[in-house]
Amino acid sequence: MTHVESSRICKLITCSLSAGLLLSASLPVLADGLAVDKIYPPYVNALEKELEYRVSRAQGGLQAPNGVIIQRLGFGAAISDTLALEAYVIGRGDDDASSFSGYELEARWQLTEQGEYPVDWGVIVEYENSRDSDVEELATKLIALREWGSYIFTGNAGLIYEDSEATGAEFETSFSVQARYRYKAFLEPALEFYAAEDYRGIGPALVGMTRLSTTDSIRWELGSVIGLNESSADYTLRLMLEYEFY
Amino acid sequence: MRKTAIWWVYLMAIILLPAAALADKPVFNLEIREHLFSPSELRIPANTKIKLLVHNLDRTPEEFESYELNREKVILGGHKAVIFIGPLPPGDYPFFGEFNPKSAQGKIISE
Repeated sequence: MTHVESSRICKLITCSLSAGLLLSASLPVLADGLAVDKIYPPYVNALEKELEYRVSRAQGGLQAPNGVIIQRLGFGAAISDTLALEAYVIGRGDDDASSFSGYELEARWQLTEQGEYPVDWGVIVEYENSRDSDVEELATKLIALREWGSYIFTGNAGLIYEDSEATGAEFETSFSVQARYRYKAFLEPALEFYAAEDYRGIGPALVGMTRLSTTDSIRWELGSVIGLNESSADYTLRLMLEYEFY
Repeated sequence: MRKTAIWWVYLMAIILLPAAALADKPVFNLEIREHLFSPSELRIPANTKIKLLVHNLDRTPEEFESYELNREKVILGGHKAVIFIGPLPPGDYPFFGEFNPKSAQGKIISE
């Protein structure tokens, strides 16, 4: 890639981000699901496959006055060194999220090579169908990651189109950011901030990776997020376990 | 107030993406042959971003991995990959091949 081509790509990304900024600024910041969820890095590793389990539990606020639990179980695989696909089944409920309530399909593109630019970029396109509440969502999230020595800052900015029988069609936005310190591979403390519909939350998280064999590993994330205003859930707990293999 | 904070985060991201981000970077070559890195020690200038061209001469894939360098990249058999590294302060930064960790080991020496 020549310098001129690279500059054009940078300008294109900058313009796209600016357009996204203007659009999201003019819309309410919202999302009907739980705002607290995985914050994606932009990277895709060729040949990598993963089994992923996520669970979030929220209590209080407008979204979860009686408590909400959402579980996801997914399988994903990289189909090239820049594109990964993943499918999830979802369970959602007040006290029990063991029954199937929907599914989600996800495609993640790595747009720039790690370390090539000051910020690493990626994008995710997600389609979610919630059978229980008859809601369909199509989301596009821009991923940005900046490395400063041992500190990693990751941001996900989402634009979501939601079609629901109850509320009709609407656009939503979401934003989340994670600041992480690379202490040891098995233990990296982080601080996370989330913004979505009627929700602002901040809290600590622990992230880590343990190798099980030569090519198999477990990644995990555990976070606790406190709501910052009256409409936000009082607290949200999240756990992610990811088994990576080749 | 809340929107202002989000605006600021967005704007910071835009500012951190300079259009002319790609000044020429020094290029270094690394080969994977019979599950060994060659050279196994690579000396690079300190505090300089470099472009590492990794050529996997084996028929099987290998993963260049280093927690110290914060890099993880699979290189298919018979293929090349580009890994951008640094700028690094002076020091030793070990790396290994995840698929053959006993034999495929090396380090980058930033000096």
